[in-house]
Amino acid sequence: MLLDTRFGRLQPNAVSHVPVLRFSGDVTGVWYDELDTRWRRKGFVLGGITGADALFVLETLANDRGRRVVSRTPLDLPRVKDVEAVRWIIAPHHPSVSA
Amino acid sequence: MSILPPDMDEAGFAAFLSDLRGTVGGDWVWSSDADMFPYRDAFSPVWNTSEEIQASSAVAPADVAQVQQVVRIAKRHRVPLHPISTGKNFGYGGASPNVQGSAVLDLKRLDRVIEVNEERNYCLVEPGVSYFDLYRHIQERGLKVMIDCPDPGWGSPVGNALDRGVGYTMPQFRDHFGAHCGMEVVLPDGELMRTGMGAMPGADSWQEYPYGFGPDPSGLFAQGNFGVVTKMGFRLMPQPEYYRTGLIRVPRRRDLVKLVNHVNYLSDSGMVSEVRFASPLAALLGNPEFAALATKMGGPSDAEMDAAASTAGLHSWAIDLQFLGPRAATAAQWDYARDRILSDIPGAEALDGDHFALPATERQLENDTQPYPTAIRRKGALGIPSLGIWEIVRDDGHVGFFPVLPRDGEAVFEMQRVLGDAQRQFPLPPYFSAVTAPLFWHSNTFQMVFAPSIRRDDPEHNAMVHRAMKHMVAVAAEHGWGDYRAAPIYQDDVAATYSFNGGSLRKFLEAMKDAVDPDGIIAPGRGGVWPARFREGARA
Ligand SMILES: Cc1cc2nc3c(=O)[nH]c(=O)nc-3n(C[C@H](O)[C@H](O)[C@H](O)COP(=O)(O)OP(=O)(O)OC[C@H]3O[C@@H](n4cnc5c(N)ncnc54)[C@H](O)[C@@H]3O)c2cc1C
Repeated sequence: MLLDTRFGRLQPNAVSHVPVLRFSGDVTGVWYDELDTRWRRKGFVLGGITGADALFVLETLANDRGRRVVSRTPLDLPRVKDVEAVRWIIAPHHPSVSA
Repeated sequence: MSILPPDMDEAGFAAFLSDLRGTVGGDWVWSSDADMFPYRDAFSPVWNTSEEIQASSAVAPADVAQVQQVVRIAKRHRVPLHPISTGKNFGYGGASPNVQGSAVLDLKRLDRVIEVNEERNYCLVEPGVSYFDLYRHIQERGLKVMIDCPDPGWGSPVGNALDRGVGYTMPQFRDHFGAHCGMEVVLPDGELMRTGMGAMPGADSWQEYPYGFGPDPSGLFAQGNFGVVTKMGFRLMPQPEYYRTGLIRVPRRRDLVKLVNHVNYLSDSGMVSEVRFASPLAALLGNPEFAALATKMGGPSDAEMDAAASTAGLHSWAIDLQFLGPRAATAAQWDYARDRILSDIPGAEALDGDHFALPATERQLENDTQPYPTAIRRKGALGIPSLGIWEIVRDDGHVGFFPVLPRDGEAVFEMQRVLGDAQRQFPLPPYFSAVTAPLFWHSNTFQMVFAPSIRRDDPEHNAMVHRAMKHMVAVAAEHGWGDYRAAPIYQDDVAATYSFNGGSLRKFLEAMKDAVDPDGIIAPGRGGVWPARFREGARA
């Protein structure tokens, strides 16, 4: 799960064993070190709470690897520099990466 | 399925898609709204209006042979193709075409780094290779070369260079088309061609000598529509040993004229990497009185600006200098630059900046140890791809007009005044004022930036931005300042401003287009170049 620390120290409220990656606005590190490799393989559903701007970047990168945002919910958190927090799920869509 | 290619009915479109599927496989051809959404221009000022140009379909071939087949299929069905490499052209149209209903030819699956040569300092890549991919390839192998990377790093050397994009290192590398050397192209009839030494069987100098023999057509493929580029070579800088920075500030407004001449000398002598110009007075724009002065109709006088600087205790201009090379050489170059400028401009002062051996540490890349405020982003300055620039994107994106400006201080003042006055009628932040500094991205020229944001849910705002873009392009052209790059919806406006001798350049290009691509299969309208089939409609 990805958490954007600009919106405070968010806690993943569902299953506690899900690994959490945190970043602050700029997704470069998590994408380059983790997601780029994982998204080239089949499967891997990813959830997150991030700024809408970071989600746009992730969605664009995910699309390159046959993945889509399948759920997107704006959250009632205070905006940070006019950026809204969003809860989302990105899942494989294209046959080349579907599990 | 609501969008059809030009001059085509549903049945014809279905036959076209079926032929594509037969060639590349059903998983790599798309036409549904959901699949086509990412190919729309996310930053479009005409989003969801009748002016928005959308593709009908997209196809992603796996290799060069499939690209050739796709081009032949498109020719048979007379469907325009819009080739993209990584398709991240945000601010310049994204992946959207010039003609409604075109098929996007998405080259993302051609993603091989074919060669990186660290002795002869070049690479050869396919279009789907992003800057991140190339950087990773180099890092994983410990190769001693540095790439020059634009923002954001998800773009591609091929796509960026073909739109004449720019980066942030030494002059001979940061003009990305200028730094290319050799290309392979699928022509509008599906034929495969190589430029330069690539045209000679057995030559091992394709990435070293770009011209070969006879006319070199490679310029036709940048912002052009004469073929689909399937390989491209680029010159690379050997990994420099050391990085050094320094700041020079000058007191008076008119000192910019001398400062620019010194920077021209340093840059053209190969002594400095990208130079950042800034005005410390920009910090005062939050003060309404100063903002009114800096944006005054006709521009403020030098005396007024100098008085404001002196009251605030600030310098008028500053340059951030960066040096790459051996440690001793960077020290000597900084000493030279400082002495040269300080001995010529009374009151100029110099501050030593950070300097360190390369590769940089994470901390050094964060750039938080610089003893003075700086706009330099270290990753870009050192050829390291990043997505961090996204923090500057406001609202739902922006459109960009970057007029080319002579490297001359007086010209800077003139553009500040003329375009500052021109934008006053639009309720936008002041992109041009008496403190606007030139951008030194292309190797031998300056630019300024006009990049108003767009808002998906505010069509009135977007319509105003759209009008402002066209107005600025027209006013700039009256003064000889042309845009360097534009989104498809502005390419005709911009091309029309390059009108010497009745538009002889465009006529020549269109005569060639008619000869090699009469049906307009490759990106008709790109760069303002229309084939006969579409010309009348486009100019109507
Ligand atoms: C915040 C921000 C900062 C930016 N900073 C920079 C910057 O520093 N420097 C810069 O240059 N740009 C910058 N851009 C603009 C843009 O994002 C980049 O230039 C990006 O690299 C272009 O996308 P791309 O590389 O994916 O090229 P593509 O979108 O793949 O290609 C661009 C165009 O070239 C043509 N083309 C592409 N491939 C081919 C081919 N194989 N054959 C024939 N024609 C082809 C097509 O017309 C295509 O639309 C910035 C944008 C934003 C939003």
